Amino acid sequence: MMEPMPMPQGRPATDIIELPDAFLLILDLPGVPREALSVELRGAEIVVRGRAQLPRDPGCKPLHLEFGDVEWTRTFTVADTVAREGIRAVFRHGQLEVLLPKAGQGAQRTIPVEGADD
Amino acid sequence: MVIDVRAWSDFDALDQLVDALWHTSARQRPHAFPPVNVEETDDALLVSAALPGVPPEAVEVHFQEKSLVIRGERQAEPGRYFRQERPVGPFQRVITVETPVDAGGVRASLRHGILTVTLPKKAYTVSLRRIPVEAS
Repeated sequence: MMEPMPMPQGRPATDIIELPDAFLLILDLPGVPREALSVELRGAEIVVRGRAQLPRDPGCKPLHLEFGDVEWTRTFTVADTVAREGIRAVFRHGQLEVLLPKAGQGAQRTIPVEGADD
Repeated sequence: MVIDVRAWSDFDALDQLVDALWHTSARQRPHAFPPVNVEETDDALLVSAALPGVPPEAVEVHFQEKSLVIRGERQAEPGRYFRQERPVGPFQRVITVETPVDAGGVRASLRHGILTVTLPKKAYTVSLRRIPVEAS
């Protein structure tokens, strides 16, 4: 019995954009259905995987092909300036948007200075 | 800040860079957008185009004479770009179709960022008629 051919691997075209209060990742994932997409936060890394398997009629004869089935994978490192608990993702029309809110600067507080008066 | 850690650490990126330089030096556009596939069944031609992020209202499909035209515009997100790899702006592909097509039956659908245009082949009814041969 023949082994199935491994699917070609690809890196999706990506934009990384800074907004006033967040960073935005936009990834092109054409042909990937929602159930074949995963977005995982592993420590400081975001890993995006998507499987594009185009529907094909067995009686269909290819005449000219510029794209095909592909296993998309891309990894991004997230710095401490991102509020990781606030990361959100939206997938629509074969395009993934991951919004990474910037972490706040933290409340300002005065540090008490200890020591006796001379 | 977000860093794409794999940008320069794999051979695919190196291959793409060499490929891009090769095409640039030849003054050719490395890739036309959108990429297009053309396939054929017994009764139709199927043209598909990868259009991620393009809603149905932002794409036009026209068929006239022997030309299928796919055009539209992909909007750029405003902001400060650290990396821009996705093509944006107006796009157009023209596919010449030599097979006779039933223009009234052309249909298009958009699913998961893939536009599929179905062009039914024109059905010819063949009538066989015997030509009498006259003696001269």
